[in-house]
Amino acid sequence: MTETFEFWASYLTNGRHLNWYASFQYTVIAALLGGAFALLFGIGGAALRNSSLPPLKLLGTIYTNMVRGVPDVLFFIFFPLAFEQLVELVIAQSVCPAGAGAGVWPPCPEANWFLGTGEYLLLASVSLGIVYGAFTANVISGALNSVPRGQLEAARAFGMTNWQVLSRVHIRQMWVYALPGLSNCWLLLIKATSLLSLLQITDIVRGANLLGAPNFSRTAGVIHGDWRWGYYLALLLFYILVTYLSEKAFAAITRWASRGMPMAERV
Amino acid sequence: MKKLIAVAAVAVALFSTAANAQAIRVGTEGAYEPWNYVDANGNLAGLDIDVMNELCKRAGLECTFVQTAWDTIIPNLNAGNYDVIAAGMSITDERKEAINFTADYSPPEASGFMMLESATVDPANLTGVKIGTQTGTIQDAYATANFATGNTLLTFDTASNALADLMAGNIDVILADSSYIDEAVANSGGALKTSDVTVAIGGGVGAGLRKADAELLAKLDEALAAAKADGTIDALITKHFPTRKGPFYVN
Repeated sequence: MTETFEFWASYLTNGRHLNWYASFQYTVIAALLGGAFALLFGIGGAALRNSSLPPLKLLGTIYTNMVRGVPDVLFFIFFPLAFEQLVELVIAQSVCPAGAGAGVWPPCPEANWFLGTGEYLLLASVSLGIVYGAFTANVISGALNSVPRGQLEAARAFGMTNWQVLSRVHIRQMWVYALPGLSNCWLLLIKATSLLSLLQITDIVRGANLLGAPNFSRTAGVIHGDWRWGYYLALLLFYILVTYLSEKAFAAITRWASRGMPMAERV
Repeated sequence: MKKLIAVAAVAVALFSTAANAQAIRVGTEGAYEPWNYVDANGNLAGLDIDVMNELCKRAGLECTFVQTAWDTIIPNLNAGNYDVIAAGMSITDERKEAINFTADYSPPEASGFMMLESATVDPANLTGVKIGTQTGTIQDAYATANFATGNTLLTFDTASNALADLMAGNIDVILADSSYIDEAVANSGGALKTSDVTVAIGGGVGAGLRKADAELLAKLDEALAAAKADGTIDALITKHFPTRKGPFYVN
């Protein structure tokens, strides 16, 4: 490494790199928010799947079985665009009914719903939630069935209502069985956050591509060849760090969920 | 009552300032030095940004810049994500079918070929070579129309990715704007070379607007004509392209 200390220190002050470091927050936000939505959709899907009404059961089964098979890239591109166009169509009905009826897209510029990074991030989180909610629903459905029947019968024998059995006993005891599967879903979700650049968010992958590509223009910055391997290495280390921290977190959550459990040999 | 008056006063003030300066969004790519790029402070800079700032100042508009991907830049303009495209976009008849252009703020220039110093490619007779261009550019269309038979055509989503593949040896020659190529070759330290063979494609670089925005187009054209006449545009071109020989618009 023949470069000077100033060169390496400039990585901390260069505006383009500071923008790139800041964009790591998009990945973290998308992962956390997507995870929350996935858990929500997962619990909902598991509840539908285990319900006694045939239409709801069908809906739950379709969600958990079919959505898992769709590649998440397609869902990622489809859901935000379809949602945006649906909203713009509805807006166009009131703002420019002539354009909306003409069958041409876009109907008119006044009907445009401008999506900034924040809006795209929210839509991305919902898409992640829909796709990984299907996996989560499967995991939670299996975990709900793993709770020993004796526990539920004992709860009912105590006079608890159905809702109390569900919330105090069934769901509380389900976590130990669900957590290994849920940690799996969480790591898949983290990997899927690398697709944010499909939604015109200048995220870490796109930033790494733009910063690392050869630059031969003096005004744009340092002249260099293909340095993308270095930036991708940094991303690799970032994802490994996130995985390590997730493992630690899940171990802690599993310890919490194992308190007072009958067969608590898990740590 | 006092609070109501205060709120009303603020509202009136806000509305009046909004009425004074029309706010428009300008879409640019941010990955095509020196036309538009992100500088060391993380801000958009380049000839397109400087020209648009000048025109907006003269026309009394408030411009904010939006960075967007090149390959969907025209559909996003028509959808309303921004109001003007200023991204080193050449004026061509095909593009005129979709959008309107202001007058050109950079005169038509040729497109050239760039290759590695050690390459033995003859741009006048291209056979059996791999040609790289950026997706959706005039060079991409030209290559597809003229060089497709007997050669392999590869497109890349940014100009720098094409350059990366050229340096890695995955493609043999790049077809791009001469000003971009001259700059890259000059700064490559002898690793790249260009040739004297050039092709004339496109009719100068202009700003793109939606077909329905005739009023905004008139305002920008008026400001552009004034900026060309007093030499401001010439100075901006020379600032970003030191190797290009003027004068461009001043007689």
